[in-house]
Amino acid sequence: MQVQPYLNFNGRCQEAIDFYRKSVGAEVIMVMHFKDCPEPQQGMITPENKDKVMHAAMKIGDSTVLASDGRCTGTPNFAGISLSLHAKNETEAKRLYGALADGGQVQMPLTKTFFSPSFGMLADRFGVNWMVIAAQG
Amino acid sequence: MQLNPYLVFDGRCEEAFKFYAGVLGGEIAAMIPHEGTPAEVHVPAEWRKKIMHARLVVDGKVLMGSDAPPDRYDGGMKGFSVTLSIEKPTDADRIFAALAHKGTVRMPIQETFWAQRFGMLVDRFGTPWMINCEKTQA
Repeated sequence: MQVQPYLNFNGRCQEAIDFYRKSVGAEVIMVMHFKDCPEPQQGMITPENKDKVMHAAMKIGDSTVLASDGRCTGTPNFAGISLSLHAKNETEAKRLYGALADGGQVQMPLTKTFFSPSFGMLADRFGVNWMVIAAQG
Repeated sequence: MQLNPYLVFDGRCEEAFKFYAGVLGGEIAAMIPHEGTPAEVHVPAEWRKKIMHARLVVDGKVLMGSDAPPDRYDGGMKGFSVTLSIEKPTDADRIFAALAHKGTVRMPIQETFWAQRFGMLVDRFGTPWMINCEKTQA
């Protein structure tokens, strides 16, 4: 069984994919646009959403993240979830944290804690919450 | 590099994770209350038995969670789902039904163009799930 987060970017999915490719080295596995849906239901495809992302899969590190534009209402809104990103060391944690926080909001700067030499929290420019944690040295 | 979903609950993390472990056949690898950790001074006294960090391992995949105190709880889960990719259609139906019990079905589990079985629901703890059993690749 696979357990994967599925994020709804409400119209900014392609922008998000491009950002994660640069910031965390995401590799795109697939992108399907609404216009390419093989079995569209009536009213599902509109001029506004035809080029938006119906379903995307990307590999980040050893994990897969799924994403979509959903109903394309324009504003992503994430609550109650963070993506916990485990870096192999402090150097990698620092690089990932800096790249994700660009244009976003720092919630807790990278800090030594009782469970990690380097741990921090942020919301990226799309409002996705991340926890970056370096493995114990 | 590992990336894992981390869910935020309103105080029912332990109950939720025990429920998920039962339904998904996973193992709870950590269930740590605030009490007894350096984090305990940062939460109200009545919150110390609530969960600071929980980790559930299902088939080698990790789901994490914690309880956010009322002043830091952002009002439910939005903008995402946890997707379970399941190999057998019968397992997909069983897990969908179990998670949906006392929850809300968003899309009944059914055949779609990509899946033998696919459905969406929000469980009794507010966690949104997609259950996906893909068609065998030709």
